[in-house]
Amino acid sequence: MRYPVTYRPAIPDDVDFCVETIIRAEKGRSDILPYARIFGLTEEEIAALLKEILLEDIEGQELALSSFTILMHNDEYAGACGSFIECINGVSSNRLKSDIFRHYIPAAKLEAALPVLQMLKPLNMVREPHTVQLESLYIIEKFRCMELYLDMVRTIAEGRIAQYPELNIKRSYAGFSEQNWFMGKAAARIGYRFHSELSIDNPEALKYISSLKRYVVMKQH
Amino acid sequence: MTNKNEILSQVEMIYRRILKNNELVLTAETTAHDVEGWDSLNHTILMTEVQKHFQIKFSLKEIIKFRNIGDMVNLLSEKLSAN
Repeated sequence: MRYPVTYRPAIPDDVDFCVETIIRAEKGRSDILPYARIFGLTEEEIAALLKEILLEDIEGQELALSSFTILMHNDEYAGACGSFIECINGVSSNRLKSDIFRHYIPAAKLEAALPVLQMLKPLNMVREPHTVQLESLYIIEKFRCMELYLDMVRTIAEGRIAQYPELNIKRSYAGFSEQNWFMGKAAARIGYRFHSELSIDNPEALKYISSLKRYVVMKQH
Repeated sequence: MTNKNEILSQVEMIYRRILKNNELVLTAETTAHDVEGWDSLNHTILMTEVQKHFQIKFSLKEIIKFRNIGDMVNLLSEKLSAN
């Protein structure tokens, strides 16, 4: 690898980098930060909320500090990736996120966002319980290369599976927006296969998100 | 009002109204998987309406522990008894 990296779990000092990771991953190749558009908040407000949410560390969904693995090149951040086990405590990640947003997003903003969330619902992944879910994949530009990306996906998925031998986890999943679908396709090199396509017909959705399609890949372990 | 059956009945009325399903029957064991339309979006609305109706607040730590309707009814009963 051009830049050898080490992997470690995120610690509270990494929270700002994890926030940056989520924001960069959410934006993908666009300038649209869906959380900001959907809830009518600025990027700074979203960053502050994400920081609080990550530090609350609610297991079983991506917006938790303990969901993040940090990639280090010597003493420098090289990237990060979120991953979690769906329904680890018997509650779906979608429901946990819904509870988290209801708690953290100002009530009036949340109420105003409900029709938008309704419109975007077809893009919500229905996740299989007791599987690894990879979210918010991000590598800093100067370290970016396909080899590192694939190594990150493989290492983090296998690491999560090894963390919970009692769950006998057989599958891992990752979702990609249309713009980032090349990353999903590239994951075929480490055993991921196309699983499903999620889409919205309504072009109005592009006010809030950068793509009307989302693709999901899955690997059998 | 701390009678759990009465609380369950009122929760059921809220769920029927929000999910637009007058036939819906909730029991202590009912989970989101058992109820059509109880998705993450409606969950947000349901939790808001339940708290508004009973005039109580669930903390985030409390709400994320609900596995089924029974967990919610039990907590509602505790909170209403304390009031």
